[in-house]
Amino acid sequence: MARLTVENLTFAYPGCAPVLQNVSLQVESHERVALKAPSGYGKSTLCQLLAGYLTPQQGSVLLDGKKPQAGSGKPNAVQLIWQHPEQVMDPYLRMSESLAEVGGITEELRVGLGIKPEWLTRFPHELSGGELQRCCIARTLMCRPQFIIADEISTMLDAITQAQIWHFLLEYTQNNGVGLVMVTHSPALLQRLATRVIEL
Amino acid sequence: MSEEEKDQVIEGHEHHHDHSHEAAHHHHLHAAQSHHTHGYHLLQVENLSIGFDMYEQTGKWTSARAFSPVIHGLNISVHEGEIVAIVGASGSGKTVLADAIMGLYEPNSLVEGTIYFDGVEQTTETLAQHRGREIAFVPQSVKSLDPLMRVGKQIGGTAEKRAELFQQYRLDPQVERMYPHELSGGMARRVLLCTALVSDPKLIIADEPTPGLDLELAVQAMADFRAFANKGGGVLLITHDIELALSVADRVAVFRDGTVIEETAVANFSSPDTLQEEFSRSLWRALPEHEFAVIPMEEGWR
Repeated sequence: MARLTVENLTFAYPGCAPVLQNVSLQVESHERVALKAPSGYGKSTLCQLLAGYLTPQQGSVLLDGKKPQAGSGKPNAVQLIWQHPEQVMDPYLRMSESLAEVGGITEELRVGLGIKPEWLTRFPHELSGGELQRCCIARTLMCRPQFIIADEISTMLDAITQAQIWHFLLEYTQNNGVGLVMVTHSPALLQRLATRVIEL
Repeated sequence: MSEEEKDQVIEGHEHHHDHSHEAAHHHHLHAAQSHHTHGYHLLQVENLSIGFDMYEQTGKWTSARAFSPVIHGLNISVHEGEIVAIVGASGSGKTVLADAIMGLYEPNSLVEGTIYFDGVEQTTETLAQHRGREIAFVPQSVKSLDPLMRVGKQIGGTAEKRAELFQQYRLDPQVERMYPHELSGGMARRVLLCTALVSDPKLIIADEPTPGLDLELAVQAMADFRAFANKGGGVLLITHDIELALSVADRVAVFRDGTVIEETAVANFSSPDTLQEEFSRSLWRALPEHEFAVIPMEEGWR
């Protein structure tokens, strides 16, 4: 079982007051943890710190006692699904090319996430927010992460797609022993998904 | 709900009114509950079709020109004092509709149909003139903010009005001096809302205004839309947050594959039994507040 540990973490953007101060938490790979805080309290910042996109000024993020790092061609074992998919995919690459960077997409994943084959030939600006987010989730899962950080990933999805994707992710995380840290403002969704809630 | 009550609610479903005695442009569909004897139409979209001329990749080096209709035969209206929510499938063309009302067309788009604003038939040019004045827009993408302009300048309006809105939306006064990249997702969303509310519009088109906002702020935004409508404005609220939309809207239009498949009074969304279309019922059942049901995929689900 993998364990993601945050110890006394403090982070400030350059020239600003700290967004996060002395944050400590621990998530295990059988858990689905929801982060709860008002808008602007640093939830997305914490998500980026967990996935290694930002470096804390103090404290550490450790995966099984070691710093989770991408290296030797292997993607980070902690993968972030971003809040705004339109800011994530390379605008110059078709979906198939973006996905090829992580070894393509399996048919199981494509069908499970409801990705239509023709979307793969398109550029990011040719897809809707919901279509793009599903491709981003596919890209994340193809990295075979031990932890998935989901930062408000379903707000641009209709209720039917949202239910479909969350049920898929629930099954995926349970079957593969992957931990989930999520941000959501929907109390109903939180109640459906989370095994534990952390208030920041 | 008794059978009698149920019948009454179902009567709220779309039907043609006899508007022959009214102005010629008054011949759209809407729900009985929102019937108005002399309600004034701020916005009417009639038989709108929008398609794109696109190049689809057919091989590694080849593409074929293809016409793909995104919106077809769409009718929707917003009256004075009314909030109309558009809910429906992702990727069904809701954002394209919002852009069309703002007169924002991609260069490769083909548009048919008529848009009336404030009783006057519009062209792309006149819509562009109303944009940011009589018609305010809350865009879906937080990327819509100008990355090189400080927030205060982008919002515009008077300093007093901005300060008032900032306080209401829990934005620190120093946010005025910030650039968009310094904002969190929820802050950017609030800045977009302030931008729409600061001018004195007649109509607000809000395309997914609440993602990233905590519940309290989202409810605040809805209350502001309601207050704006109660003062005689009109709001077209495009959203996936059905629960939130139902809390303030007067009518709901269910959007799928580029058109409105069902237009109904808010009350009919309290139970799937009072919804006419299978797709609307599926939306209801999929909500985490209700069944969180997985609806089987079939061709055409988006």
